[in-house]
Amino acid sequence: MQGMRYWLPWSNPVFLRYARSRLRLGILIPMALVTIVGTAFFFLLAYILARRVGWSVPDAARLTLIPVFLIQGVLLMLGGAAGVAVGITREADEGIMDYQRLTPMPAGSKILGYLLGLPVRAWVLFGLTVPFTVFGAVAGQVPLDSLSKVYGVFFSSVLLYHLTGLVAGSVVRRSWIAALVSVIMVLLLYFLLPFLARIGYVFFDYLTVRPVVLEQWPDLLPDPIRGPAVDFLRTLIPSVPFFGKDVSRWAFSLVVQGSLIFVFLVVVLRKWKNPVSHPLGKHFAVLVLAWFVALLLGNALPLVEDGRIFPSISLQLEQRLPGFGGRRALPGEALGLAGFFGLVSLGLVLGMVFAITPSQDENLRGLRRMRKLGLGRAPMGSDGAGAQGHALLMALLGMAAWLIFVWELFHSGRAPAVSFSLSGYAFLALVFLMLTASAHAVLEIWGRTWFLLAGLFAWIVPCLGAILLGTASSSLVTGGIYLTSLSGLALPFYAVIAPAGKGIVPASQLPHLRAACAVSFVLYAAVTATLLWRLRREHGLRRLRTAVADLEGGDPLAGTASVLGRLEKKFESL
Amino acid sequence: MMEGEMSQTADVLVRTVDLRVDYGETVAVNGLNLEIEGGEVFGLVGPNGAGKTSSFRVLATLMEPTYGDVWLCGHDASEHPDRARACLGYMPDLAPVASDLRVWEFLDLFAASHGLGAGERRNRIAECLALVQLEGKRSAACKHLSRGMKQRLVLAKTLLHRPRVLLLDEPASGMDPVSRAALKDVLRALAREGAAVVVSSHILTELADMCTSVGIMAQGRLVDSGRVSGVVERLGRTERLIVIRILGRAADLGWAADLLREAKGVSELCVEGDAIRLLFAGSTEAQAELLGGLVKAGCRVRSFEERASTIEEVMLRVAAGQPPGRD
Repeated sequence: MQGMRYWLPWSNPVFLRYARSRLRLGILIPMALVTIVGTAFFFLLAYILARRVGWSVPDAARLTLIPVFLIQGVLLMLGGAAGVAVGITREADEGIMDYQRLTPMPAGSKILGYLLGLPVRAWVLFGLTVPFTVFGAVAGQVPLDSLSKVYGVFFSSVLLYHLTGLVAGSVVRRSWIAALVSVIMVLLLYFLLPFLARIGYVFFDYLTVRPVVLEQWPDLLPDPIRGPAVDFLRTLIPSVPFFGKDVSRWAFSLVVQGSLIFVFLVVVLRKWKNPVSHPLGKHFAVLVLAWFVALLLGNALPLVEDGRIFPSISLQLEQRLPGFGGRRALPGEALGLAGFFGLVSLGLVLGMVFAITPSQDENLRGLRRMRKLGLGRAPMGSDGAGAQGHALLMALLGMAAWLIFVWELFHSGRAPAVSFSLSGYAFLALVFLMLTASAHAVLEIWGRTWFLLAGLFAWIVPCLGAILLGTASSSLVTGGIYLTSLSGLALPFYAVIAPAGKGIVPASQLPHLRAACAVSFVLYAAVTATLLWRLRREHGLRRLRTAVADLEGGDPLAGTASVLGRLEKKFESL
Repeated sequence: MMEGEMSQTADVLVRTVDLRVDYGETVAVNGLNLEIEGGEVFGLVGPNGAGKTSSFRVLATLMEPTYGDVWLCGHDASEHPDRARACLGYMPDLAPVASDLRVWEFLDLFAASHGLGAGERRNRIAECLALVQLEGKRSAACKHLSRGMKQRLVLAKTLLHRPRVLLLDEPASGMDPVSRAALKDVLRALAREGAAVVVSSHILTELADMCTSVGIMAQGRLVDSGRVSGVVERLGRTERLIVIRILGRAADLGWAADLLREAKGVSELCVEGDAIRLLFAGSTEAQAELLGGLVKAGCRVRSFEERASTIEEVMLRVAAGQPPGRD
């Protein structure tokens, strides 16, 4: 192994393998011709049209940058990400990945080889379009600084999407599903998630190249369209300071994308070393959650005071037409935003808890390894260890973020009509901790399938039923409110609306909302207490099983069934 | 080797202790204990679903056992998988090849991944291709190779880094008789050089020829293991196949068969032509009394033959769920 410089692409066997197979002239030449012809067509079309309407050569050249940039995006972001996802899934599906897993090459070098090798054809095709960009930049007298910032974030986004493909391919087993997932994720990032940016989740927009394009393209666009185009583009995305500090968009994009790239690399590295390992280590998952919560809050809080976090059309009209009276809608929106932030924080926390909680088999394996190594308990950070400590830490983080957001929102000048007491905040905290604890307990006791089924039937189905009731008749809305109280998804909303809804929610519905909130709280308190007791008992049983298995030479069932049964009964009676 | 048979000071390259693999509620491998020395060709045989492939994947460090330990070349495979893998060559069942590569590219990929330099790679690839008789296919596309050729190509890939432990899951499937003979020679040559070779196969007679020792797996358990002849003797001893030929007409044959059916220890009796085939469970004295009884009853016994159990017969009986007997 000495002397092998695997980090250099041309010395990396995995990269070379794909360079050989994907750059065979028989397939490369036709694709290259299509790319060159297509790019040249749109390049010339833009240039000729611009010249025909009397633009100068530099302006016409700058206009050509736009279609070329879009083609490059399609080639690398969509084509490259799908190529990575399909390639890695096929590699696993065919069994070649097992061979590679057994070679002594460092795991990081293998990942580098796949990351650069799988999309190598997309990179070569991209390279064929570069002369068009160079012409546009040189003839258009584009500042190098702006161009390099746009392409810096472009490459960072490409790397992120290719890694997304690699992660999708590592998790999903069928190649076409992996390709679909990676393409859908890229499309989601560009077309759906930007809407979340309008209600404070600006973080998502910085996973794309859009903010930097908007920031830098005043220097890249032709003079005749620079003014109106830039004004229009800038209305698409709010400018967001981070915790009150002004950070340039391209630097912030690089930080956000860089952090996600790092997390994805860790996931792939862990999956590569051990396909059944958790995507993230327990300690690291807590850090990742803390970082993402900080990013969410850092982006959302500065939007609260100036009202940009409120999505209402009436408010936007008020901002343009003073005296319009859009402020009237704000208290209701504030309650909705507060509940929604709680739900998103809960989703984020549960997603992380899902990633680090061991299944029963993993837990037993961890306990057996602990006994083998002569340890008193499974190391806290190991995959096989119970995740209750980390789940609690994560719950505290998510809860803190929610409380801070609600506090800032209800104390902003934009929502003066909302009054929320300190006990209200304590109630929110309790609700968050309870929901996280109950979900984690279900996950740890019964595993992922039952967790997802419980989520579907206990959390989603009641909400769907309530929607149907409300749609069927306005007289059934009250029934819908009570039906929704069964769902943990509704509790963050109820917990905000019930104490603060006076004067905001219709008076006829408020008592029902408060009663539903009480029912929901009591129900989840009882469920959580029962589940926590059951979880404690389950951990005891698992330790017992491991001990019996060790005594009986690794066969906890055959020959020991009666012993185990007796011990379990005794344990249960205790 | 039989558990406990081997001296701990010997060069044990593969060792498993209480290996267990669960898939949810299903126990695929249960309490597998193996010790395989360098120089040994060990055959793991058993019907489909016996747990062979799961055992191989655990041995190859591609899967964690639910319980138990694996040592390869003295390294704990759970704690130090990288060290264990360094001495390991693994060829899975239905050995896949990269369909988008040529033969030499496929081998070059793995030779380079094992750290072989450019010159060494060239030589070693040529050596391994010669070993599996694929020299003429060096530039062929992998996807155009026949099943047997693909098997041989993957075998060549497995040998590239000169592993001390070779795990070959059904290596002979898809190979023609000439290739199988060549495979046998290759494996024996590797064993002579000190490697421990573990092979699984359904082609039992060939495994018997190829292996120095075998282990029989059924329903996740290692039913028996040891030298081929010893296993056959142990598992075949409690019920022996006996073929009796009687002189006379068909009625005489039927009468003898009726007599035998009533004898203690006789099962699965059938009449085929002029012969009666039966399974007999009992001591050698009881077997002699069975013959004596026939003669005393007036049967004209032309021959009374105890057929030695082949490993295939043992396997078929193990697969049928008949309890193996041990003396």
